[in-house]
Amino acid sequence: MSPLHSDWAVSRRILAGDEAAFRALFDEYFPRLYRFALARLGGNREHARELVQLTFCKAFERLDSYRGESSLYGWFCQICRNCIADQGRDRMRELDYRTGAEEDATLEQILESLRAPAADEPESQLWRAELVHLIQTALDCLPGHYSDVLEWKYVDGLSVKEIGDRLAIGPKAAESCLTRARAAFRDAIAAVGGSVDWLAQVMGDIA
Amino acid sequence: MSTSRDLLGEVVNAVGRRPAPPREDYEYVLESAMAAWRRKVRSRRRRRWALAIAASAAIAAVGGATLLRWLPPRGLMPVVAVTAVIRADVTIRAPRERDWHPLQPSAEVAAGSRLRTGARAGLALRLDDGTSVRLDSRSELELQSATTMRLLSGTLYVDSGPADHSSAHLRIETSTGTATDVGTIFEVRAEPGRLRVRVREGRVQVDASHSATHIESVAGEELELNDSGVPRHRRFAPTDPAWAWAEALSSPGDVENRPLLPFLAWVARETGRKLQFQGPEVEAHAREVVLHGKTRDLTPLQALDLMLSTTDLEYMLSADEAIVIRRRFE
Repeated sequence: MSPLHSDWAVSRRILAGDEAAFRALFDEYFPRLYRFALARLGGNREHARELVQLTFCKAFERLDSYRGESSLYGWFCQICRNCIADQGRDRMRELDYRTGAEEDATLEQILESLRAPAADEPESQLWRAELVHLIQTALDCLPGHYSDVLEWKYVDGLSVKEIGDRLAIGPKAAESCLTRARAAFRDAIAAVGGSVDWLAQVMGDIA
Repeated sequence: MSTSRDLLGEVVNAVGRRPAPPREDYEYVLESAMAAWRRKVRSRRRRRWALAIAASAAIAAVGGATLLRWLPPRGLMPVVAVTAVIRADVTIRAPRERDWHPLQPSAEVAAGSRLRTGARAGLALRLDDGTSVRLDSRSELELQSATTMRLLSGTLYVDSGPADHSSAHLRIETSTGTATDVGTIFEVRAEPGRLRVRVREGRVQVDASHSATHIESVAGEELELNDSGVPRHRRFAPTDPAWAWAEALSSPGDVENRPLLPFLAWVARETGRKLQFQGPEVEAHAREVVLHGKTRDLTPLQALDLMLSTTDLEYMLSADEAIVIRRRFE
């Protein structure tokens, strides 16, 4: 028996009626899925709430079909995508429906546009808001606690030791986790043709 | 722009904290999600109870032949295991079916299924409570329920977790006798007129089928029992090379970004050894190490070689059957 905690083991504890496991999963996934849905529903909060509710209900109904072949969060995201696609078929005109591929293209286009910033100030502010939103969405898609670690370090100003305390790991492991989080974030930005250096410059210029 | 600036930190700082969903949306979704989860848990429990009651009622009311007609359809039989590792030719016969089919990776195995391994095959199953059950080559097993299995021929390995594991005891029945685990690692071999039990950790209760013989076998021991109920004990080391077939069917799962310490504990358990550190400083250092890479298809010691090669740690196998972790000296 593997002693390593796995998403599959978490799913089995939840199925066995372990309420602490259920609450921990819900608290971790709810904000991420909410933002995941919100970004794909044109910021419509009411629709996002309904969709995330539907996602959780379907996911728990089918949880015994989860085999641990992919991450559990990825499995929840796939159910969320399917729910959006189902709704999209019914309400394509009503919702501002976007697929993940289209969203990537949008980020790429925004990055391209920002390489030649518009002279018009309100337009620049709009682009910046959109860019912030899309970078936050990219942070949500980083694996594990990487996005939290980056926020704790660079937004909340926590020390490596304090980050380690939050993750219940030692300072060296926390330092290693931060290094990997930074690399994952750089990769995510590079994947859509941007770079952190250039982003820092653009955000400074528009601010 | 100064090269000493942390631009990535500046970007994340400029973007700011991701917006938290409104509290009322959290409460709204939590209520529905919890209701869905509770329905699921209740339905699983009800299904298990219903099957147990239906089976009991059927047994009481009708004879064995008639019983078959009342057993739940195959699709309703409870799932008792999931395949974790499959090597070569492994086939399954689902409950109430006559044909054997190749067993697929990650397949669910329902109660009443029979599993058969070919000449060079092997199979590892994972039960709901995390227990690992492994079937050696040329073996046949029937999963009667989540806690009872019938070994028709060949060799079976069970790791039901540490002795304080709270799950129900697993019973392995053979024609010669029944082995019941008491929180342990053990192997059962069934041959015509003979049962062999090897205990690697913990204790196993063995009850003969054709006599009143009840024996407890302990770690480091091999017990043989024949149809007359005559037992024969001998020493059998937890690190004996004969355990290799079971080690080859083990898997630590995905180790990427996982801490080193649980991985070391897994290697020690799979190889029947104790885990030791060459001093508290080495142990403290090992607690900080995070793993990267894949261990697929490697034996536990091969995986350990690979994982430690990316760190400044190494291991040695001591004469007193321990894995000793120490600093690597260049």
